[in-house]
Amino acid sequence: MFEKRRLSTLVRGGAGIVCAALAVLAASPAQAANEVQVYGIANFGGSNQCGNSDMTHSVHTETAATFRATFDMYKLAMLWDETATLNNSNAKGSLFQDASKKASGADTTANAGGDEADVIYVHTHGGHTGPTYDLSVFPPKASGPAYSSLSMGNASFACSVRTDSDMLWGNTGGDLDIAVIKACQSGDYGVWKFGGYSSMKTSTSSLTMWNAFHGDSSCGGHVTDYVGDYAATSMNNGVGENWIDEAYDGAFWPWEDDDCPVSIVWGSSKTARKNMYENGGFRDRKDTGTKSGSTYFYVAGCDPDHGSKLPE
Amino acid sequence: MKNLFIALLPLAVLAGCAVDPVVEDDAPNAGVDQALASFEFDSTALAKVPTAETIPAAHLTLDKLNELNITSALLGTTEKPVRVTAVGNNQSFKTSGWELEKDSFTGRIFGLSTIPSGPAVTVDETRLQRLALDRILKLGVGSGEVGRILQRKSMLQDFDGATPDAPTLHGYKTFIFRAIGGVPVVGHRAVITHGVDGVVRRAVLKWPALASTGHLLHTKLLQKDIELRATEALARAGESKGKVMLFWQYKPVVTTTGEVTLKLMAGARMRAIAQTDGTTEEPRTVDVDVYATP
Repeated sequence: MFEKRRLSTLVRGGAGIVCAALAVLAASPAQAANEVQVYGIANFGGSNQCGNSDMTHSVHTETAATFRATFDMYKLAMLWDETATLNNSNAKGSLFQDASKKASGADTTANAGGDEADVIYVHTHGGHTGPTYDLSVFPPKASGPAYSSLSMGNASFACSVRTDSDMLWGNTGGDLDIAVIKACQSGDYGVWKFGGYSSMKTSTSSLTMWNAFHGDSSCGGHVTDYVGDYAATSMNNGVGENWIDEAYDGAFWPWEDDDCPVSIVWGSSKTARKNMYENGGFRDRKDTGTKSGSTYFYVAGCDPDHGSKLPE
Repeated sequence: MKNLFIALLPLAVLAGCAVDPVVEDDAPNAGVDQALASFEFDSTALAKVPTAETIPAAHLTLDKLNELNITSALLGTTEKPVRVTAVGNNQSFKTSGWELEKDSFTGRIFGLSTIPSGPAVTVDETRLQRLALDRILKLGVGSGEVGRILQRKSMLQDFDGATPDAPTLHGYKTFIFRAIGGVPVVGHRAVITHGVDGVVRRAVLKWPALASTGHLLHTKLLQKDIELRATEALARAGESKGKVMLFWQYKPVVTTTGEVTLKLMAGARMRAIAQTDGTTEEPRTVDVDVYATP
């Protein structure tokens, strides 16, 4: 767990370092606590809202609440520090933008910015673009841009934020370790394979895990069930693999497609990334080292709408 | 020409001289459902009316959700689990080879082996599926509350250099969904994972105990009545038009003991819709009250 490691480092480092570190921690309370922030963006098409009214899904705030509920219980037991909800118009696009990429970026805003928390959960609509392949040359040439985008909740700020040109997590002043994104196409295989998510972090970022979906993911009361179960079972172990187990579903009814949850883990080695996926938890965020490489975890042959069939 | 490239591509990729394209096989669903003026129902799945008179006599009961039964029947160890912590109703236990969390009130169980997976061996996935099913039946799940079962490989793909490695096998997952008389119970499932060595290494369950009475498994509404109810439910959810598929589902209702009763409902499922901002409205299911009766 980062907090434990940080404290042990302080003890080893001597009194001077301890004092300096304590000063930093005092100035940046976000980095001293276990914090979760949930963003349920349910309302669209109304006054100062983004999108159109057809996009309104009340379930989005319900899943956010059920995700947070586990952390509230752990907070009562003094095993978690802070929880916050920023639904609908409070889920501003600027809170997902890094100041180094967009002048309006405010992702480290206290108790609101996505990069101010250790763990975030987002439920909204999403999409992806590219990459494109030029098949007129051989071998085919891939070109960008390649990114996922998420719909936001306040029309006074960016209504759509992109993983490549808006987001940068766990960099200077940021703290994000784990992002859980319940949105269509938020972890697209083609985008990952092109390297389209790599610009969301630096080599020294804290960002370790991006749990999302390849292709479209279904919405309804069943999501509230599995998101609550996922949060409850992932505080200590299996924070990556539990996402696959809880959210995967094979097509059952006519014109239904697969739900394909994926987990992207960054770290310096294959072993470290796999260990985070299998044994990490919201309260046990493994140190995967520098974020020089990534691993994409998925269910073989999963075939969603608006996405390719995943390799077998 | 495009077909020739695609035909040659595997060879080129193997030779390390090509980027393996990810084929986007689906066009966004924009303009199809929006063109409709109202709802267009597909009620084919409602034709098979739920026939279960009652819940199966053999079903998971609260007394089976104790740590001794879970470790012996589900995890397959005779070692007595030692309690570690409890947060709310969630209790954590350990044995020398397993970490276990369980919440009898919600029917949540998470068992994780602490022994690393061994080298990959050739496995018979049909046998793994049978072993996974055996584990939950030994736990106390009744065969009459087991619905569809999906056997899947879980994969990983590393990306450390300029190009990603080839996908590799991570494990074998058996997804077992709860259903009564063929009608799925929303949110209840068991996922048993075997490692590449063929040894079980994870068990994740949401399978609460069923109450012995109090279930509402039937409805007197006719198809046309249900379509009317669906129209109202969809309107309340902000929808006004589009293709809708109707199906049966049992929604669990939690009682004060943690046991659940089942209530028959219909589900109204709409397709994904591409939006003008580049995102996609999720394919959604809206619950439809069918005034269920015992």
